Amino acid sequence: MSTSLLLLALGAGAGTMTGIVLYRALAARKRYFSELARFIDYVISDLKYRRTDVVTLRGGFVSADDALSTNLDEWLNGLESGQRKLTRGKLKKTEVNEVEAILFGVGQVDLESQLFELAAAKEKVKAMQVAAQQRFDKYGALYIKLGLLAGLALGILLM
Amino acid sequence: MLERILPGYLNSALKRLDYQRLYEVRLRAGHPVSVNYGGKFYFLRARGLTTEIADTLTVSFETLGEIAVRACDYSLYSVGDRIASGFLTVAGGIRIGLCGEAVTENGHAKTLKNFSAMNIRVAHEVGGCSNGIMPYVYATRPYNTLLVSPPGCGKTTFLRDIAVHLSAARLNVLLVDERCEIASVQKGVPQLDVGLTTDVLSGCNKAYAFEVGIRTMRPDVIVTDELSGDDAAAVADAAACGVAVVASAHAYDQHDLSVRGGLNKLLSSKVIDRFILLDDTHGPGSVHDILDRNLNSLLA
Repeated sequence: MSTSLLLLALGAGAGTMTGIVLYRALAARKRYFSELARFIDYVISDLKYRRTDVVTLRGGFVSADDALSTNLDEWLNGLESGQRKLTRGKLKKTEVNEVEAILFGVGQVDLESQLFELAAAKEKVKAMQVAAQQRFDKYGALYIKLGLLAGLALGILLM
Repeated sequence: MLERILPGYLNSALKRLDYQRLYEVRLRAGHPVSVNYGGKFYFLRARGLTTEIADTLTVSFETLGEIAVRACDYSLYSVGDRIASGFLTVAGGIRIGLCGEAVTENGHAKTLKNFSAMNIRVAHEVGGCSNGIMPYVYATRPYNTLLVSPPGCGKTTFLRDIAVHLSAARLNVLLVDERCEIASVQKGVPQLDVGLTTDVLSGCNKAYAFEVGIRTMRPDVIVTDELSGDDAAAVADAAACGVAVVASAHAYDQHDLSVRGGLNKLLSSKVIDRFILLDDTHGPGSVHDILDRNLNSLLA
């Protein structure tokens, strides 16, 4: 009896943990794009007034998302080294390619062109942010519930 | 500082030279790299200098573009005004003159693109280089002084040292550094020593700097470089306000000044108390003559 309950509990626990991992991945994507949008707004605002160089821009931006922080540091390092690649993390391949194009495009053109490009980038990021938010709203809690149910089912099968 | 902006193969070659004798590095797309070393021009090879064209190092259009991007800290948008004026500045007092295709709007150059040539001028602080002329620049008060010479004879180096001397005399010095060559300000910090009591206004035209600076900073003396005809009125106004001006101008001598539009007014109005003529007879910074406002020599 106690073994059965234990198996049930372990199954439920494992299933729920899996659901939470998937939930967090969706939350991380949502947070990443939200912070990226905020970074672009920050850059646009600065360029319109102070025109700070990219190194100082990066230093003045504190991100609430570690993955974006890592990407921003990789961006600066990449400018020096010529390696124009970012860690993918929770992003899809197409999304990280888009982010690479946006970040490595900053500082390569004159002010007017830069503001134009950043405005276009902002729209793209907003679209990715909306898609990530919708996916999170639709599947986030669902993954936890499905994980719990799947775990319980597995526990029952193993009993 | 050159290391940060130049490609590796050029850095390797330049490392073989005495940096203190390196004044210019001239890059022309598709052509041999040349350097002004000790006052003379040579071509650059991987192993050093040469007067022959064979085996010299060259640069491509793409490399010039990359150098420009590195020189502005990967932030071309932040230096649009400077590029439109044909120059960039790098930490350490390095100024890069730019050549390329001008993009114009309403008759004004908006920017330069497709850089085809660069003149990288290396600044050298020569402490005490103006010791010999300081008695003519400052006695009980600073004199309105104009350093006159062709390019490359040390005017900017002298101006920098004069600012230090005037600052040491506890005068309030306003340094108007339009092309960021005297103090080489990077992110607000002068990269070169211009004195403890020197305030630097950089990157703006002289008319604005003179007007705002005199009004807000109350200087005893303004130090600035490369006067053009448009600046003569600003200099005269400053002198009329009781603010001395120490400046430089490109000309072979005082006679050349008299034919330069606008600057001839400085001669005729007798605003300038001292004309210090420099040349490179014995190397850059050779004092050829010192004249008073009536163009009489003060050197017996």
